[in-house]
Amino acid sequence: MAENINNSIKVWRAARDMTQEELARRVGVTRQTIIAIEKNRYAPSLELAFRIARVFGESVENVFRYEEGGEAR
Amino acid sequence: MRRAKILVTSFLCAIVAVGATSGKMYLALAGIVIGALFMALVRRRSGEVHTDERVEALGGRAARATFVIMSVFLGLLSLAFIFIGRNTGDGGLEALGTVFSYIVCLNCAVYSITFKYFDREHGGEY
Amino acid sequence: MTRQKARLKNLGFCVAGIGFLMLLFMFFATASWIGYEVKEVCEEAMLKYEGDAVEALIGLLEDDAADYRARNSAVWALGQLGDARALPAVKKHFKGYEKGARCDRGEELCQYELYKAVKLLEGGPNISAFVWR
Repeated sequence: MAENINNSIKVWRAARDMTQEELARRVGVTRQTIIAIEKNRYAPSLELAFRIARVFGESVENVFRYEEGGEAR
Repeated sequence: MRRAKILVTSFLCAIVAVGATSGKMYLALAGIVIGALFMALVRRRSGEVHTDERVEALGGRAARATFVIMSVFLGLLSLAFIFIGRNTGDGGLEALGTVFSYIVCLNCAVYSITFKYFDREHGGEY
Repeated sequence: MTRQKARLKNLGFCVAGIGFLMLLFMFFATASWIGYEVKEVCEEAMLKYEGDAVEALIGLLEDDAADYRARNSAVWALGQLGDARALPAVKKHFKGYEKGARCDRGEELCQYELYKAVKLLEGGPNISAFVWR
């Protein structure tokens, strides 16, 4: 589903010492959604991506990367 | 919190079961209504997130799949009913098949209307 | 404000459209059910009486030995079929109907039923019949 979008949420979470539960609560989604995004099974909406990046105090590009050449070309 | 929930749920279940077995329908109904109210209250109070964009997206896909499956299933069933009813002279079965086929048509029409509604609601027309 | 208005209009069209479709569905479902009932009554009458459906139903209506419930449904079915051949037979039993008068379908020929049948047989509108006829 999200073949072209990679993210480093796991890394940023570890750096901020944050659990999935806590991140989910702070951005207002369920924990399942955070798991799905971390595993690249679900591409979040632009709004959610911005919210996640803001929790880490980073820009969206630092958390999410768009990589050309996946399934959709 | 979880334990309290289970306790209340089992208590209400017991009330509903007693009401249903003793034939006191109002008791069972009251139990169900109170249970629904309690659940709504708990959900609002706990502030937990139960739906988000992913759940909504999945819900949309599930709804679409349900629509397709039910339409095809009911359509085939109605065809079979009409066919069998005609062959065996069973008017009731044929009428049932006809009503089923109307339901399929209604389903498709309602789908297209709601689709058009959301298309406009999230479109750039206004 | 205009956007709000347009959204309300959109919602109104959606609700009205779905409501209309629901009513249409109920009409069609009821109509096909009426057709089925008429067919049932006809088939039952044709087992006992001679002729085509209308003749058999008239036979049932004229049979004093038959159950009043069956005769009342024969009147109803004749009205639904709308075949003018049945008009004399139905009119013969029709004594007049006052609004609000009640009848016991198991004990007598219901005058209200006869009244409706006469109206339909004389060419009154029967919109549901278009669906199943």
